[in-house]
Amino acid sequence: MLSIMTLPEVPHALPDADLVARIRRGDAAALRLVVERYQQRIFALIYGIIRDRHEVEDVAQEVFLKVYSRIDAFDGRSQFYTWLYRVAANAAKDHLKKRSRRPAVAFEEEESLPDRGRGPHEAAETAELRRRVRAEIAALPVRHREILTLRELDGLAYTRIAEILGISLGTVESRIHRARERLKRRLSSHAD
Amino acid sequence: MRTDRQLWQLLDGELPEAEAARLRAEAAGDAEFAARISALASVKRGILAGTPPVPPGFSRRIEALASRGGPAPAVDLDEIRRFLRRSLVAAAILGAIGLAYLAAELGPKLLAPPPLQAKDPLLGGR
Repeated sequence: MLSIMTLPEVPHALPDADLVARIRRGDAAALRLVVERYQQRIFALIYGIIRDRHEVEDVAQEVFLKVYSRIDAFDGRSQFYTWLYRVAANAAKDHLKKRSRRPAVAFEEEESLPDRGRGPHEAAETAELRRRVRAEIAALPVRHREILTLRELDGLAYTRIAEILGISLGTVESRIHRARERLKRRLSSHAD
Repeated sequence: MRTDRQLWQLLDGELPEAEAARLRAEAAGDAEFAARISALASVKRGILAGTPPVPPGFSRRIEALASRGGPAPAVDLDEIRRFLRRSLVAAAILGAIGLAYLAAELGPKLLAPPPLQAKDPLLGGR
């Protein structure tokens, strides 16, 4: 099975439901455990949308504090992480609006994600390709950046992405396809 | 010729297993096809590349802020949007009901022919 895993496994010591119940009782230590469980994903999701490394931390902080103060808005009908990802995606998009729709900027900085699952097929992958992908993704519309990022977070299934974004499965499929086509065209046009 | 869409779905694990197995077998015997898949996989990996590291002590800081009540949450634009959207839908439904009621009540009256004029006694009713 071909798989793309770039983020570490979520630790499963305590179920999310238990942590949520504790947060509802005002237990800030439970919030810390939620943060530790999801912080890398939330950073990746926010960065994927706003594409500005320097602002990710502030938005992530806002997201987790919102989880704490608005936990009652989570009705428990969906998985906690789908609600959390929705909160994070909305916070990232609101952040972009607040900064007056400034165009996203790709930063040429060191990568921090671990290179997992590297095999011989990936040996040829260069830093240059990654740099180009990053730059071209930054130039995509927000809705395309959002859906591509969500897709790569834990390899979220299309149905989960539909749930997070509140759109139909068909819309997810077509939006992902359009985003990738657009990305591919941009990569091809700048290949020379 | 396999489309990119099929290959992306393969990498996403969204293809039915039988179809995925066919493609994997095809890739095993076709270096060019395997290279196509590998190139798309590289693009996928590039999507999350560049994410900044979580700073040390981030979770402790969040815990401390939450314990103190945290900064006042910003206005939730999404909630406001949802509220406005629901309000608009409710207003549209109420408006439609109102119009239907008016049409039912006033329609027949408006469409009815005007009442016959009483005969003018001066002109005589021959």
